[in-house]
Amino acid sequence: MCTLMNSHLEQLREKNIELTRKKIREALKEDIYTIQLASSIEDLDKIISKMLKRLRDWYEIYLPEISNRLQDNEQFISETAKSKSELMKKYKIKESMGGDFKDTEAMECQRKETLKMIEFRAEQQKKLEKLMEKNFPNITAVAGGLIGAKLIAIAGSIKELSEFPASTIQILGAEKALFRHMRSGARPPKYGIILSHPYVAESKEKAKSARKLADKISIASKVDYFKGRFIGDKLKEQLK
Amino acid sequence: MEASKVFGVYEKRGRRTQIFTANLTPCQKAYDEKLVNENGREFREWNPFKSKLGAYIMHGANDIFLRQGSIVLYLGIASGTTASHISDIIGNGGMIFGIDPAFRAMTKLMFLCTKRKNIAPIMDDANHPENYEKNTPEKVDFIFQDVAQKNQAEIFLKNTRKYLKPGGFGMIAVKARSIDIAANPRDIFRKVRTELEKELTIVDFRPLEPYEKDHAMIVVKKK
Repeated sequence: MCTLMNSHLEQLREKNIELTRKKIREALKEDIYTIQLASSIEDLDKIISKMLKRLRDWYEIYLPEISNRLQDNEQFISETAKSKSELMKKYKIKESMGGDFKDTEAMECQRKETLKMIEFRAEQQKKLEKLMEKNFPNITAVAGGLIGAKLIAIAGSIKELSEFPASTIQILGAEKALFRHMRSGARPPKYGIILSHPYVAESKEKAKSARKLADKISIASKVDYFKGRFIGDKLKEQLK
Repeated sequence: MEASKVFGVYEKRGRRTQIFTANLTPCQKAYDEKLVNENGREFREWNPFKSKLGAYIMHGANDIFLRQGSIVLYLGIASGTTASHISDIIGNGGMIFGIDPAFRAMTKLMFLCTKRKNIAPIMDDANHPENYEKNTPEKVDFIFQDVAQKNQAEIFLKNTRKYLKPGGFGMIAVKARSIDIAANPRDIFRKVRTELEKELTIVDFRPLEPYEKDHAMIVVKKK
């Protein structure tokens, strides 16, 4: 009896393993790939900001005036390609506080790698936008590639995002503030990551436009999940 | 190393008490736990900070109702940290049916399944017990639940109704913060208890405080 029971369990286990393998493969759809790409871009942003900080630290001892003058990161990294004497001439620095180091190869390497990283990030973002446009055309039209991908990443999948109400989409990414509000009665958050969308960021009434944009994203995600036709341009027009 | 009062669990008393299970698959780790050789047997350390069942044992549990050859239904198995210790206790005669809807956790669990012959993975949602009735035996001896869901008591009841044999035991790790982030954890534990008491007998209740914040373990028996 016991051995009979065990062989039955054994068979059940084999069947389950096979079924699970199939189910995992089926679960790995395009949106999972997109989520991975979006989170990798987020990682790259962190890495780049750290590398840039280090490069600035380096110029702090080599040529502190230039780091102080050029606050914009892009300009800073392109200008530092020039040598010290050239830079001093261009920005009319008569005397620098920085030290005279003979060998600056390590610093140069840091600059080159940082630049490469920035280029790599831009490439990855292009790929992401292309992918988003192909798979989720409506979300991309309304929210843009990167923000759309980040929203899908927080929700977990396009299915889950399409099930969210607009009010949830509005504050995705502001979970900390939301829970603080629920726990201690602080003021609730008005917007999450959709704040980085130009429509919200450049608006004077940010909360109002965040609500409007979230509404349209919610509609777009539902259309994209059920593979409806393209209505992104109409939704975009309604925002104006 | 000596056998503790809980079946299949060994302990090393000292300044800091450690608990172990005898390794079913010698020389192989399930995650990054420590392996200890003593008296010609290999033991795996059970970290109560990583496993709620381990935390429950550290809180002085008398029995976790697992025996050699038990058939276990595990809701929310994740990557199988706790499950690997249950697998040690029940031995090769038993079987764990682990349910989890997340593919990430499931891929990890699949690798554990190739090592341990008494774990069966089921990728499904514990909210719908009828979905996996073909993949599990009709009745199981023990149900363990560790899911982060708002309606976790309801999920537990649904599964005990369908799968737990009469007189069988179940354990539910209540996550107060998943049920309601604003309410007092104690009130939530009381609420879950009264909900479970309608159908089941409560055998034990212990908060898991130093190991898991705002968690409690409730042990039940089916009437």
